[in-house]
Amino acid sequence: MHRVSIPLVLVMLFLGAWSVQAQKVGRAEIRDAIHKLKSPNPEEVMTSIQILAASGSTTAVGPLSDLLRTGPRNDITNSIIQALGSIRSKSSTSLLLEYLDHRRPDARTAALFALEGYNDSKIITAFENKLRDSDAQVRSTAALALGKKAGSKSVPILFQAFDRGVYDAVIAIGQIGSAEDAQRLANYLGKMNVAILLPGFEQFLARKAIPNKAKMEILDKLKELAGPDVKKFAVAFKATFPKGTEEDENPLYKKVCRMVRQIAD
Amino acid sequence: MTSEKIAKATRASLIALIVIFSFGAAGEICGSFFETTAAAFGAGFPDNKPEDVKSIVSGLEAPQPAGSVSNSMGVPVAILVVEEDPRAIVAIDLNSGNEIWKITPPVSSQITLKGDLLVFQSGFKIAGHSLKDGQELWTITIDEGWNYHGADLYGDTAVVSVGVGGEEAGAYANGRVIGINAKNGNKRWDNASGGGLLGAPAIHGKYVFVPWDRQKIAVLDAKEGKEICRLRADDYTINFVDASQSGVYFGSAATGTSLSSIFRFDEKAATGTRAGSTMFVPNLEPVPGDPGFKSDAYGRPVAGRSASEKIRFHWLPTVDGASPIAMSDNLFYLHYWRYVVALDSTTSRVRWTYRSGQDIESMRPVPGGVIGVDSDGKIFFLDANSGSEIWSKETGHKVLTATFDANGFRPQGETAAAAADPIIGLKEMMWDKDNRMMPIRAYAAFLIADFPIPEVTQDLLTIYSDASIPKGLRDAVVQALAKRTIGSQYLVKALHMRYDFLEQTQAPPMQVVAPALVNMNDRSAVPGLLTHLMNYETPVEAIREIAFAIDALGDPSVVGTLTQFITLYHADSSFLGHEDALAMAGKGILTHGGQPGEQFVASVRDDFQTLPELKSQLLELLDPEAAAKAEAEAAAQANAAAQADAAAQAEADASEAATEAARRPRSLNRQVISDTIVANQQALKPCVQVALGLNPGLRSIRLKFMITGATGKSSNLQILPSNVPGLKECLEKGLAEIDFPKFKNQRQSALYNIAIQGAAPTPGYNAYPSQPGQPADPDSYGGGFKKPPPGQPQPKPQPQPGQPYDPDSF
Repeated sequence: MHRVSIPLVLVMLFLGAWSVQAQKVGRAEIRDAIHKLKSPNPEEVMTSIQILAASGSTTAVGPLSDLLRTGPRNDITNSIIQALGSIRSKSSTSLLLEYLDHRRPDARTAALFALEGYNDSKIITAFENKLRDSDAQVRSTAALALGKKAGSKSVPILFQAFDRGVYDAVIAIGQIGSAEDAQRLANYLGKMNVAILLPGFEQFLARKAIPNKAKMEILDKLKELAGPDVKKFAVAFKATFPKGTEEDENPLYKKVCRMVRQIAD
Repeated sequence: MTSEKIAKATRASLIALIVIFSFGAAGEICGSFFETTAAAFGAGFPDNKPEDVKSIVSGLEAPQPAGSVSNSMGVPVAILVVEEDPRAIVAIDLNSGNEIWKITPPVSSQITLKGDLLVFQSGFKIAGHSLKDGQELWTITIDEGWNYHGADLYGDTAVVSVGVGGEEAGAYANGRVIGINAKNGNKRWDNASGGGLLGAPAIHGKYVFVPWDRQKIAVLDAKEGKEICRLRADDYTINFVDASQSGVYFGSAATGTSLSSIFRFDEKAATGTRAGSTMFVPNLEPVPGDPGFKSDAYGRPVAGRSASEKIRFHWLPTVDGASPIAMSDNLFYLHYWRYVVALDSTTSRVRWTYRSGQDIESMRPVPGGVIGVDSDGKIFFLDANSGSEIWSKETGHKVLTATFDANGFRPQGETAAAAADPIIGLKEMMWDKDNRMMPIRAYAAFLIADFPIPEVTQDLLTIYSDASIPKGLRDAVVQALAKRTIGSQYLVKALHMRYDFLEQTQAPPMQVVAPALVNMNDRSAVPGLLTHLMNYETPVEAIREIAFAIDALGDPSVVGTLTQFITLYHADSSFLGHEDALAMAGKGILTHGGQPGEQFVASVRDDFQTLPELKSQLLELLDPEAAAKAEAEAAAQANAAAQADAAAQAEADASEAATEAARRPRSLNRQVISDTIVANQQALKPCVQVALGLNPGLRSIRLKFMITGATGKSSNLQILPSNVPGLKECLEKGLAEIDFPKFKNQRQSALYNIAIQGAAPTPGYNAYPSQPGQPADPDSYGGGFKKPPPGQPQPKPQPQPGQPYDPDSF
């Protein structure tokens, strides 16, 4: 149900693999990889970057940044951006922010992923600006990144992006929005395809910070709309409750159970 | 036109042969519609003879300015063809606004109005009606397939042009121009082109000017119809002639890249060239719809609503000592559906615009303004000075087309309004929401760009930046901006515009703005240009122009950004195919960066990751001689390789040709020649159709020609009968399209007989006999092309009694 872009999944898996291997890379290997960053053989350079990323060593940040500043070819550029994102050294922040303005959308997307792990006030503003990007993938990635990092101040611009067709913004709104924002999102019901809105409601319903009253209102509005997508959503939401939950004990559970019973397939 | 229609026309012409007109007036003739009575349109008549043209020009009456109405009532009138059942013609007195009369003849063409005479096509007749009461004065019967092309009147002589064929009938075309007594319709003379269309004529004093086949004007004596002068256009087409009090004019149509033109019939016209003639051509970009200065003289002027009539230039010739082609109020007008754009005839700049609520069906300039009528029947008058609609009259009719005799008409009590602001009018035109008007809306961008006012640059940028405008208009604005030479402050200001997906804003068209800033030499633009260079939203196609502008307008302060730019992208695939943009940035560094800049560019050139094409372009920048040498070496290598390939190919071709030549026959037999012609009969068929139209009694056409063995092409054609105008030339063209099989002998003669099916058998190896008793059938004139029925032996050439068959002579 949670809509996540394919590139995001691939990068997450890649970074995850690196972090698992991080402790296995020794100092000598890091030194050797740093040395080989200057190799005229692009394959050797690529391998070295992957080793350095997997090492997680901040010693690699300087050499990787230096190589990036020389303007290498596409694959090397993207790999370095990913590696710096994996290492998460604060000193890389400004360099990675520059690559949010690279001409290639895939380089901008890589920089967005890389910066997700960083904490800097400039990053949220930069991510918000990427909602203005001409490339749909960049906009979508920026919206999802804001859902992970931003606060409620970013909700208005996410709604603006949603109105312009950045549908992944609905997930971010669900992740960082307030009960009032959930109400605003519910106002779209009946005006556009419910399947686009459901991922946002899923996020709202999953958050402890959202009061049960607001969640009940969301379910009420969804039940009014009904339909197979809503039924499927209700079934999935019901499954998130612990086994043995009784309808009489939990009004939210009771409502979703009624939805499942009453909405036709 | 299909062959069936032509055959019908031919049948009708045969019937017309027995129709005899009765003419009573002395000096006027009796005879059929198809009788030619004076020599004209002959093949041997000399053209462009300066002494002939001079004689005509000196015989023209002294030019007079456009004055008053041409009718004897002295009343300005509008003649409307209105959409009723049945269709009606209505005459309106413009002074009073009252209807003078209404008639309901079956009108099938536009109406020509001159003096007291209305002329139009009515079914198979050309009808002349009186302006005073609408009553029919006379008719001329024409054959099926023939159309009215136009008429003119001078004194009591009317000339009428009719035609058949044209582009839609392939090679077949014929035209007829007839001089008649305007009062009773008695024919005074009658002439046929014998081949080629004749357009709407114009008569001025004792001369009739007849446009002919889009290339010539035959000048006929108005009294007898005899041709006395001929003009031939060498490098333009002739699409209309026009005679008025101020002189005789003719014009050529627009071609898509060149605008339509007006020529004056003066002594210079004898040159036959645009450069040598007295000519007016608007100083404008090509106008959408390619409007002409008058309706196409060769087209059928339909009575219904006509799209071509709604995209036209209009003008009223007058006399001005300073200009040989002077226009009333120094204006000419572009009519585009519901718009009228008044243009200065000296500068071609817009003076005002007018938008009607409905489509304007017809309009005509008069001294001091424009009279027009819209499809809802509103007749209106536009003041020439302001473009204001200072008078209108609702007739209540749905109007199809109209014509006016309104020179001198000025609505009573109405005075000229203040001159309108053409810029406002053109902006309103661009913002028009009617997408049917899209071509003229886009064209308005070019018209407004012509004004030397700085704010126009801003106006164009404002329209460009509106997200809601259609792409066609946006593209036109971009092109119009490229022509601007003033208003740089607005371009610099526009550099602050950015693409923003959320706000739906656009960046300025940098590929246009950047070179325009260079033209205007505005150095304050450099910071903005650097920002757009680094902005990833800037289209890669615009980067080169931006880098060029930075190089041209910049100083050493630009080197840092240019260096950053090249460093970032010198190995990046986003510049594949656009390496020249990076190289231009490199040139900027060399211009402003001194020795360190040169070292940097050299380092980029030597970087193994640098895009290969960028490397070579930087090499050329840094060391042009070395680059030229390397290029020459590469070219020499490529040339050598190409020569080797060509030699190998030539050897293979020669071998193949020798094999093919060895297989060729020594000569072609009759069967092969006949089969080849039959297989390509479509190439000759139109010629037969024309010949049959001119000579319905034709029974066969004999062809004798040579065939060259090496090429299989024909030459030296001789035909019998040889007196059918244009037939030999037509058949030569047709035969030229036929490829006969090649043979070993150098040349051979060939004979072929085209027999008209239904005609008596004629000697010739492919003349097939018709069925006994079968009458001549013009529908089957292509019968000679048909193969004999299966099993039927092909007839052999037989000597006729007393006329021995000789294949080598006709």
